Amino acid sequence: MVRYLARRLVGSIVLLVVVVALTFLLVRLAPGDTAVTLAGSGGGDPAYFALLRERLGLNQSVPEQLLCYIGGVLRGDLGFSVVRGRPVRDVLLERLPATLLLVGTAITLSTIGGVILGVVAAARRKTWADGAISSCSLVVYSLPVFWLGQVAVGLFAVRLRWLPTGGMTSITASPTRLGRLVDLGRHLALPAGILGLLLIGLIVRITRTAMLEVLQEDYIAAARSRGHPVRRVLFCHALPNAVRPVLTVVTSQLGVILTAGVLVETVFSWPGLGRLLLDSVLARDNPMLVGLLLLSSMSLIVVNLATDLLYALVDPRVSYR
Amino acid sequence: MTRLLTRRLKPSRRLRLGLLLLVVIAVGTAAAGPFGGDPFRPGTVTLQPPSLRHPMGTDHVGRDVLTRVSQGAGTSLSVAAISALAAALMGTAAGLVAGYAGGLLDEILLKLSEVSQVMPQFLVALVAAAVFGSSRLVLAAVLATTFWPSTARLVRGEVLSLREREFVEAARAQGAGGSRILLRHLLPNALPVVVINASFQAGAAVLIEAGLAFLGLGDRNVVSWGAMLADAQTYVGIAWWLSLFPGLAAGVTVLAMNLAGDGLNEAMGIH
Amino acid sequence: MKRLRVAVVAVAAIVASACTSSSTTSPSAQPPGDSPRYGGTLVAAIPDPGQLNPGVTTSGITHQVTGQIFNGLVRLDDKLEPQPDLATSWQATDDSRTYTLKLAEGVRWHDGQPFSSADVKFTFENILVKFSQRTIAALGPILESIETPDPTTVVFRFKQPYPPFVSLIDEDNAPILPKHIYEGTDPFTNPANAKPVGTGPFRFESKAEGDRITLVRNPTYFKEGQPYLDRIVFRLIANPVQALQAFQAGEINLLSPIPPQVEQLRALPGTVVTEKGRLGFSRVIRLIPNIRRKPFDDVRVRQAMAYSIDRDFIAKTVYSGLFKPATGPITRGLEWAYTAEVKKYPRDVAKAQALLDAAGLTPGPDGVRMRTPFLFDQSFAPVADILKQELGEVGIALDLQLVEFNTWVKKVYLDWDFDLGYSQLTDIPDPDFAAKSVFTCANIVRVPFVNAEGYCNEKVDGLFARAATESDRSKRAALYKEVQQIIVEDQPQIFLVDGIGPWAFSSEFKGIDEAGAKSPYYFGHTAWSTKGSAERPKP
Repeated sequence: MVRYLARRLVGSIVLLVVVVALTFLLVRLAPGDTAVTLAGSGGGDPAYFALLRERLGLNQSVPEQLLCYIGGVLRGDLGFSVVRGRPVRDVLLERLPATLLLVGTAITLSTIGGVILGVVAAARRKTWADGAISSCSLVVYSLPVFWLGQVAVGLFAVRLRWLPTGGMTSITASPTRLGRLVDLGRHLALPAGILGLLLIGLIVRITRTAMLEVLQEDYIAAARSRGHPVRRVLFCHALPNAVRPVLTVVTSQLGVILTAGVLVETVFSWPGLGRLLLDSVLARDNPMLVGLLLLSSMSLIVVNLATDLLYALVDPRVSYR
Repeated sequence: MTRLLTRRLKPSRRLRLGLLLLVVIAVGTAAAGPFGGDPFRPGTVTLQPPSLRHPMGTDHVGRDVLTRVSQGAGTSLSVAAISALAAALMGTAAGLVAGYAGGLLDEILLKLSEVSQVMPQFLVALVAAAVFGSSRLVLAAVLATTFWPSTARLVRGEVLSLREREFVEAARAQGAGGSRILLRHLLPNALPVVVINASFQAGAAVLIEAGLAFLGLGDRNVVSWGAMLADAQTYVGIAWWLSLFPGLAAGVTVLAMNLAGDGLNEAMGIH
Repeated sequence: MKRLRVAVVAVAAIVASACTSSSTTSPSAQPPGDSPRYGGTLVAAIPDPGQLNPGVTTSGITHQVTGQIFNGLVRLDDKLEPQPDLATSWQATDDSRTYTLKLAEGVRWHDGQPFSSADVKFTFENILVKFSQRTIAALGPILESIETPDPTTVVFRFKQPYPPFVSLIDEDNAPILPKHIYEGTDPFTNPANAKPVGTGPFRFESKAEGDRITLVRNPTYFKEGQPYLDRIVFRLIANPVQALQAFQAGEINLLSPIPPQVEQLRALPGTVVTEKGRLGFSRVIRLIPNIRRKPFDDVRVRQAMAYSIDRDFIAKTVYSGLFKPATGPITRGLEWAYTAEVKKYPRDVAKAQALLDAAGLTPGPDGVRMRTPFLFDQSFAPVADILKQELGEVGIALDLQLVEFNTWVKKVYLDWDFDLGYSQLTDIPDPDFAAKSVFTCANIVRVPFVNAEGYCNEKVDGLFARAATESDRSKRAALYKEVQQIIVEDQPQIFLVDGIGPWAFSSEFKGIDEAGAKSPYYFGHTAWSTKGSAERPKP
């Protein structure tokens, strides 16, 4: 187990270094540089740009810059974003909670809803309920998430005025803690709902498939023949065995979720990392971009590692080869 | 190969529906080409709601939305087709070889697919569009590059499970060479997975293309649903038809591809 | 010998303060019930400006925030005339080579430190002339020295006459930074870039990354009575559609809409939509051909392009009639310098084709005479669609290349690696500042937003040079008229539309558009809420 852990950890670190290098190269290949963005509009002179580039460390060779960067990462220093006037790490840490909240809420809600609907669909296979759930989930999964988001804003925020159009909190903060919580919830409802809708489609489909497979197993029939109520059989006997594929899918789809997160955060002006990524691409904020991709890759690696370990713990059939 | 596919294929309503939708979209696009007129040509009647003459209305410079929606299908379908096909080819080749040969090749493939797993496709496409420009070909290439490792992994898995099966053993005993076993025995059996995966990837490609165009990183020389949606945003309160129809078109196309994939999946009993 | 020309600023200063302070207003100037009230929070929508050091960027988004936090030496009024800001009066020598500025007394930085002439000298010498590209271009080569005889006096000496100087030292172009914070540090990484300290009417309170920037009233502001609002909050919304939606939902009070949104805003009750207070943003939107390259080196090809475009249609559709067809390189907003007496290029396909024929560009079997890539960014995409169509009809096939802003700047301005591009620069406040940098030979340098097309005409250069040292405005206007006529004939750039663009705010707020030609940068001085109280809060 310890050797397995160590091997996975080393592998993850190697992976991370590869990802950093790739990202760094990709970003450095881009035309345009921070100096231009920072300068804004107006005249200027070449000496000024040369000076700016030197200040921004854009004069060194790429391998030099890469080495410096990796050295920095090891010390916990992700560089300085001149575009934002702040260290990259600080900005990332400040915006991380917003994304965690959004993605976390969306995943939690959609997992609960998706699993229940999936179980129902599997239990009522080939009935109208199954048909409706399966078709709806497929439709929802197929719609462009940004489009759905805009329709929702137009309807719920502009027309009906039930919910705010975007952002995370109101300008005038409520004096009570409960009031602030409600305010946050109101802002969270639309983006988390849209993101969750996309996910729920996926989870319903996976749960249904996994459940159908499990329901064919002998022990289910045995449990049923022993007279256990259907609901108990479904949720206590079958579901635990169907959870693993669901978990695998949710973790393997984390990339997709982050992607949808970029679009959802953009549509709802959510102050998270997704919008930061888009802004950083447009502003050519290289240190921020590399930091963001590093963070997203790192979180995916950690989640993968964690789920693998979780399986190893709960499922004795997994060997630590 | 086709015999094998049809043999294992049970008719499925989803599959049929998905394929039907795809055919309708493809025919619609083809028909719009010669008859639909120039999708860039401005007209005199701007921001007109749907009418008999313009069933999907006109946009802010008087262009017919129906013409643009149907031509936008060409953009989406070509990006989807090129990227999914290229990924399928690369992925299958790599998966077959790695699965069959094992060793270092296999290790490299696994590492590559891990890298691609932890670098979200859309984010890479976003940065790449900013770096290399936003032509359709660039996008298709980027998508293919990010898609193929997952195909390869699936094929590799199939090959690993098939490699020791009797019919392969038998072929080997009869003195069949490596390439013959790969092409004649392993490839046909791995193909269904590839097709299913490709149909889902095609759907993802349509959404990614639309998402990039929506963020302003699409190919402007062709009509694109994402770009139409991005432009339509400006008129969201006054001209609902500008965003409804391209949004629906994108949704239906992706749905068709997912239905096809899902249907195939069901028909062949693969999970 | 040196006759000192005293500007009429003292009078102007009194008028300016009278217009904005509640105590000394005359009834005729300010009808009762319309005098500024105190209190209230104004919420504006802007894209995320990033860092907040106004001295190292000329980005308009940044200055919408920093303009409320910092001061320039002057500000420009509705007629683009300089009015006091940190400088209360100024005198120029007869030859316009030496300027003596008197600074306001008792000004303090937000951290309590006193402001003095040393801050001005430091800001110009160590920040602006080194890092602010417009100032580098304008002052760099000609600034001789800056002297500070006492804490409230600054003397600028130039190597040559420089009449436009006072117009160019507002917060937008020359924000004054605190010496005690920036001295001896790197102006790009100074922590104050994230927490700016200025002298302005509002203090920086906080920035919630990606969400909002909050400014609070500076209770010890040196301008008597100002400011009126308690708070200005900038909601960071990048997408104009979301900004409009937030405005419609009543979440924000101020935004700069894109033209097609204006009609919706006008229909919204309690909303003011106006171009007032934005004269400083007048601009001519134009195409930039690379005239080093064939076939754009041929004036007939450029004229043919000019004849191909239906400016009226573009102005009416994409710009919703808010912009007018452009006639030449100088915007109508710069009234004294603008002339309509130039060659006209109405859409005329036959004429365009004849010119192309004459240039040897005959149509191929597919009707195409030439193909050219066209570089632009997202904001120009709707126009690019129309241009593709209209130029296509005369046989010029555009290959639309939508790139993001940075790539576009690099290819057009730094690498000159383009055939056709576009630009929408402001021409304010003076042709010597804007037009000159785009059309003179000396500005063919690899720097953003100058002469990228490669146009070099000795006659034009000579006219610009004469106009720069001429202090009589009508004589300058005559020189610029000639410049415009030559340039319109030569079409080194193809001029499309000309206009300002409006902003919109809730009618709860008054005075927003009364802060001069660049009110978006200064509205904190004059804006007040009708829901406020007449009582001034105690400091």
